[in-house]
Amino acid sequence: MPLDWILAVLPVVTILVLMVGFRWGAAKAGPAGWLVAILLAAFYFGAGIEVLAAAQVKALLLTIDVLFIIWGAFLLYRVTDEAGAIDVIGETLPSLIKDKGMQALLIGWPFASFLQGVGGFGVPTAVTAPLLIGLGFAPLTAVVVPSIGQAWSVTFGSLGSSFNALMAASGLGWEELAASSAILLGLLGYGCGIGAGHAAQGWRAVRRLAFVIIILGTVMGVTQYLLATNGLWNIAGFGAGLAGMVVGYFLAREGRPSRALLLAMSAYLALIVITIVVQLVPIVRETLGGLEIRLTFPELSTTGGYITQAGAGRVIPIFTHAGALLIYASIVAYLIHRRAGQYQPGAPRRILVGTVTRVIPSSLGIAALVSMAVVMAHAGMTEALAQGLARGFAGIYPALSPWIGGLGAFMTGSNTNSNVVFGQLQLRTAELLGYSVPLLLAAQTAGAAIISVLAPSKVVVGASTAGLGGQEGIILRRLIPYCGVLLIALSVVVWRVAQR
Amino acid sequence: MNRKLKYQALAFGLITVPSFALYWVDPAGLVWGMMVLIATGMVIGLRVS
Repeated sequence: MPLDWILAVLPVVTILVLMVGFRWGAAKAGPAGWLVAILLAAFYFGAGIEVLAAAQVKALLLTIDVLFIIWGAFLLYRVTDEAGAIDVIGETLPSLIKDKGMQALLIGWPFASFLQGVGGFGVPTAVTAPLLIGLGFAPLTAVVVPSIGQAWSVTFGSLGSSFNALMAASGLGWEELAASSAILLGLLGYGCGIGAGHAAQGWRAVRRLAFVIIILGTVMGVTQYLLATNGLWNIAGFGAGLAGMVVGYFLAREGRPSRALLLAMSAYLALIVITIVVQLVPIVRETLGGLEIRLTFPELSTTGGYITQAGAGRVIPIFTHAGALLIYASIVAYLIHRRAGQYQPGAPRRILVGTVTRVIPSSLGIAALVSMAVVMAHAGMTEALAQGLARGFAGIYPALSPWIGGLGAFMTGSNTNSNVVFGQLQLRTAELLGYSVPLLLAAQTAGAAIISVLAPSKVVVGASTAGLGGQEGIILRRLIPYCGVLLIALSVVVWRVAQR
Repeated sequence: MNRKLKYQALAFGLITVPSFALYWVDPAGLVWGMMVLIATGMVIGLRVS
């Protein structure tokens, strides 16, 4: 029904207008969106107090999941910066890779994709934006480059969590879904490389680095495809980013890394080693993975009959969580820098106070935005939005399916959540309209991957790490054209393939 | 910690602590109170950020 659709979209419009139009930060726009969503959910969509309360608790679990990483990333950054390491990286990396566009491309594309592969949830931008600022890029550019560069690797990132969600939501296995998803995302990889190069230094850099973009795009895309289609979908994003970093280093190197640079990079090297050990060594993973936060919820129903199935909320494995890995890396880096005598007296207090001061505003924004999205999902507002889109555009549905995935990612802040919310809807619509199910599910997850970059909760992370807190609207304006072009290109490809 | 940051921390606390408490307290008795606290946190966040 049109009225359902118009009211369901109102919280999203509120956020968009306030953040993009009025340039409000997420900490201010988020509560406004939440208030609109909760009033509509309660008084129009029939969400009772039990539904709203359960949605709020589930939202808190998601919030903790996201904030754990943000707090860890800030801590890692402060530990590194307090030792003067960011300045050292900024001063010495240009001598190793002289081309500034190449520096931005390698850090913002393969390295950010690698970080997405192992961590995700905003880690790529949180870790690389300060590095790019240290190399002399403007804070806005430092956020935009990795945000665009890592978008293609979101689905198979976080050790395949979004792809896993797509399989869970659709009930299909990797044998059916991996190939089409890996191909669409691999094609997007070239677009992300071009976007990252353009965001860094414009079209001149893209033309100059065209050969590198083709080589790296091919290496990463093929690696991801081979891993995903051979049952190794959980390390497909991580493996692709790693392959890109290795090939990128050999393409770009003009000197040998100095000891000072290696010491300055120790936090990031420690993060890579710790992540690989924890994720890929079974005994370590099993030992640390024993303790987790897991809450189960009953079946919930609105008075309008929209049902949310009973089940666990977001499960948070405390010691193997990406946020925990960042904290381990922070501790290791702190010990290394302290042994090297790089801290002034009072450094631990400055590190902690600096971290708390920076994370509170972004934590508030994320708590509000995630709450808004989860309330909308439980009140059936997200479902109403998607069904309205599907009904209104039945004839051109394949071209629309990436936009539905994107809508879910924008609202929930994650590719994983979008796949959970819309996976079944995309599958049923594809079946009803007679289109290829794997193709439209690939379109769902690829669209969600691109637009997850624009999710306010991720934009807040980038803004905070680059010192642009409160200027999220400006970042959003800069990201929208890139994501828009990628999404339109994806729609055209899916549309053309679906007609065959 | 400046005044604005303190209010933001208060808003964050009002949103998160009652959210978690909702899971453990008796919903029939306290759920409205908790939701009012969360809404208060949201309004403070809206005002001070």
